[in-house]
Amino acid sequence: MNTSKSFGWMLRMNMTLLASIIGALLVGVAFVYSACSIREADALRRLYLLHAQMGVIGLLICFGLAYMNYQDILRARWLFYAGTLALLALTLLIGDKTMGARRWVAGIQPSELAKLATILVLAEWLGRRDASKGIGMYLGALALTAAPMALILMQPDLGTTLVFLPTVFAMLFVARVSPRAVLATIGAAVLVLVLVLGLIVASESEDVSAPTRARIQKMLPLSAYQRDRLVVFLYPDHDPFGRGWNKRQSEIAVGSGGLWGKGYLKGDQNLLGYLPASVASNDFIFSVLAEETGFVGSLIVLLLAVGILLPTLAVAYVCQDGAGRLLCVGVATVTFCHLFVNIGMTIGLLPVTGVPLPFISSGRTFLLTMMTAYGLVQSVAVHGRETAPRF
Amino acid sequence: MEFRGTTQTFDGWRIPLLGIGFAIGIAILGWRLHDVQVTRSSAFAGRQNRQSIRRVLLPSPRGRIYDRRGVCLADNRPNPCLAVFMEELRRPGGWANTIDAVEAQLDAVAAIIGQPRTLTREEIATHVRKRLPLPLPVWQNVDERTLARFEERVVAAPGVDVYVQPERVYPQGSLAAHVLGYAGRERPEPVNDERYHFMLLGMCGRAGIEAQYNDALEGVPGCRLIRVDVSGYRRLDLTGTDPKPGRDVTLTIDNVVQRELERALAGQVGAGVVLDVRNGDVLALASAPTFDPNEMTPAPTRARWEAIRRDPGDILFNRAVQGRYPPGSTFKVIVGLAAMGEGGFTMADTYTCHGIYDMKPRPIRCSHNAQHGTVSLQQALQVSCNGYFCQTAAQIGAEPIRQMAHELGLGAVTGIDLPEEYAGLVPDAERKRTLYHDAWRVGDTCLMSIGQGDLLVSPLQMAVATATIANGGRVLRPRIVQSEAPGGSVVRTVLWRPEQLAVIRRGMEDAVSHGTARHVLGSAVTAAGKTGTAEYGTGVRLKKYAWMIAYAPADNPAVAMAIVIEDAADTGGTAAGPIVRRVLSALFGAAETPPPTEGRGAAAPSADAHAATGGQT
Repeated sequence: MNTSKSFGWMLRMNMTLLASIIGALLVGVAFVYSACSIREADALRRLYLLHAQMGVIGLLICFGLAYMNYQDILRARWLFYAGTLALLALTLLIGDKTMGARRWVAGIQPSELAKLATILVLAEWLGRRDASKGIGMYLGALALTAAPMALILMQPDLGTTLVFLPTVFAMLFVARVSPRAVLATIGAAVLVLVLVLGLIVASESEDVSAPTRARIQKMLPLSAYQRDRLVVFLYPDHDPFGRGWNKRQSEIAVGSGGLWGKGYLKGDQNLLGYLPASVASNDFIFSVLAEETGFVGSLIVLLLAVGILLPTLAVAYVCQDGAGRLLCVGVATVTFCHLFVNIGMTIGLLPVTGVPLPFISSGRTFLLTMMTAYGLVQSVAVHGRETAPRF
Repeated sequence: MEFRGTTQTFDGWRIPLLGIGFAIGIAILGWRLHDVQVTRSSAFAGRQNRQSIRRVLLPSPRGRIYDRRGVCLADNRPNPCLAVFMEELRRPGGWANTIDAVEAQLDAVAAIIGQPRTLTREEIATHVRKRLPLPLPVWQNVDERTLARFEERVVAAPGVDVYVQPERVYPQGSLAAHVLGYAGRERPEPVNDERYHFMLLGMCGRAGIEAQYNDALEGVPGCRLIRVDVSGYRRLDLTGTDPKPGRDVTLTIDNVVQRELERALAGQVGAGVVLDVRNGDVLALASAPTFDPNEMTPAPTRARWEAIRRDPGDILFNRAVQGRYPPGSTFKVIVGLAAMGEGGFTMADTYTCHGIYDMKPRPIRCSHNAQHGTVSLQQALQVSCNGYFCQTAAQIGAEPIRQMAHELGLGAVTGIDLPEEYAGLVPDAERKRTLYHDAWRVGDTCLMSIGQGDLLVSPLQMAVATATIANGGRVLRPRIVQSEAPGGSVVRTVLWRPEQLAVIRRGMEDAVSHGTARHVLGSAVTAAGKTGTAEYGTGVRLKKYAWMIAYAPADNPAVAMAIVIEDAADTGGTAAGPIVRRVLSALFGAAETPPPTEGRGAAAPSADAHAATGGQT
């Protein structure tokens, strides 16, 4: 039938994934509204409308991409990648400076685009059918990842930079690229992490003399505020009103929510301003949600996360094309990292970083980037099984 | 299955393993969320309440204190302050930022109202550390013009606000200062007590009635539970109770008598107590030198404290209740009662006085070396003959005397509602043995009989004993706060034979009419009394405590009193007598014809006097 033929592609979209994303978007609109309901500026109070608009636009993009063949889109990867790098460079030069960091240019956050651009480039790079899977490919992948990471680190934005690492290693893992080199790199990374944390512990220790502590602090390859955030994570009680404030207040919000929560629009931590208003709608939106809906609401968010991650991996699993599969793996890993780091920091599991919660946190660039990414995943779902590899 | 073999880049287990990794990650989040939101939820809810719920303690208006005529002795007045609420000025980062902000704000307000701030940075830091949630008054007793100037520009000064502190005021100045005591600013409780986050300080009694009746005067503080936002501003009232005002206290003190007693004592060191013998009401109770309680509230200045500490007069010491004095010859009435009671003495038992009583180690002389001749008990009281009482005491022994002293309330607290009452001391053989490793001797009995030795009493105790003699044997608990009980609170009733008491009272009447206590004469009432001059100190200058106990009217006693003057220049009659007269005049009016100051019985009492007394009775 004509109808079934022209809309058949739509039925091949992953419906669980689509439903979970729409669910997450609705949750996002509801809690951006809640988080901003007490803001005085109208523009801020209406942030939820923006979120809804972006969600609708994102869904349109998503359907459009699903209709298109992702392999056609992948042809433009270098253009996308180069454009993103250019934007990142521009951000460093003329970006809007807020709280000591340049992250925005012309109202967008290029670092979010860079995640998708890197995934696209790597998916094609690692997923080629004739790929050698040798050390050269590994180093190439590292170089392709290192370029945007370096530019983002210079903003500086450590959290976003670090999200790249698990993503690229998950893709390398699934692509079976030189396992030994991958393991060696991971080992080295863990070593560096332990060393940095060790130095921070030493620099905060009472037993070490003040000049030595100052010297250790200079040795650390971190800026003062990055060090502060790690210190807060390690020692939440050192300065409850300064550096530890957000972490402490976020934990109180989540914890005081209890099993059933305090009710929609009744989260005291947000209403009374203990949860800083500037972060309540984006980085700490999960705290608002968890306080108002309790453990039950938190579980629903985790359930939505499962509803997004597992279908994406399922799409990857059944895809016959290496690039398509790695694209899905990359997108799923980025999503997982954001979810884990964001929720983890609101409950004191991880240090505080500016990593938003996918589909729920307000933030145009990140939302549209994620919607684009999942449009491509749906495209893989629609086209990945029927299309013969082109190489 | 069909596509599995078709691509070489595919390992069937790698994507599921990644999925398992994601699942583990989500499970970790779920486990931790369960821990935070379910297991430890109440702890976090408690932390939230601690940081956002404030319990504001509202002080209740303190009760007033009135005298028996309804004159207000202690009142409250509002003290408008400009106080800084530091929580509202909290800045992120270290406390130094907040202290900077407070200092800047105070300087701004100082410029607005045109008054320099006196608060130092250290004081602000201390307040931040210890009492952050409490307002810190910076400018006290701000006048209305300054307040108006502040209110005009109040928008420019967040964190600083008008705060009315209740303050205690004593409208009558130093009147009855030792009875009233004073109330000071309550000390802020440490904030670690979770029940009081935010306490508006009331007043707390520090001495006298203010301390003794603090619970009643204080009332019940109210409290408000409020939820504050992150800036410390109140968002909603949760619940609360209104403060219950403190009860007013009406004293038995009569301000007219009290004032006269204080004026009579002024310039000397001493004390006086006036009791209503029918019910134990304390009509006046004074200690000199005295102080102005207004200078003690809410807290004396440092300079004032220094002056008080250095003052040799020890002005805060309530001599009437806490003072310890040998009663001197006033004790002879008790010896007389004992002699007439257990001692089996009668009026027929006489003693012939040659001005000196031979006793070891030191003979006892009569005052002015007077030779009283042959005297009975009544005459001995009139002229205060030491020899008579030494002789009598030696005959009856120390025990009946001690017993009578105890029965009249010496050696034990009277139970007046004032703090730190002195219980007095009636020495016995046991005490002498442990303290001096010596046996009780006749000499000790003799010394005790003239109110010396180790015997110690407070003026209040002597007043109670005098009242007991006046009312016929009812030992009353002196009461300073008015109560309903018309007859007062009787501690015990001493049973005296009518003749036993009558002799003593006649002796005391004679002492006033033409004996040692004649300086009392001059009021519109007939009084009875007994003088005493107790010597103390050693060396070149022997000092004297001048005593007088008295009751009036002699035929139908209404009041009793005891007066003591330290370091008196003269005998009890001369030094304390005029004070008794002034108090009696205040109570009953002055005599229409002033009595001759010298004359009657001024010289050593003679047989004539004796005859005259005999003629009277």
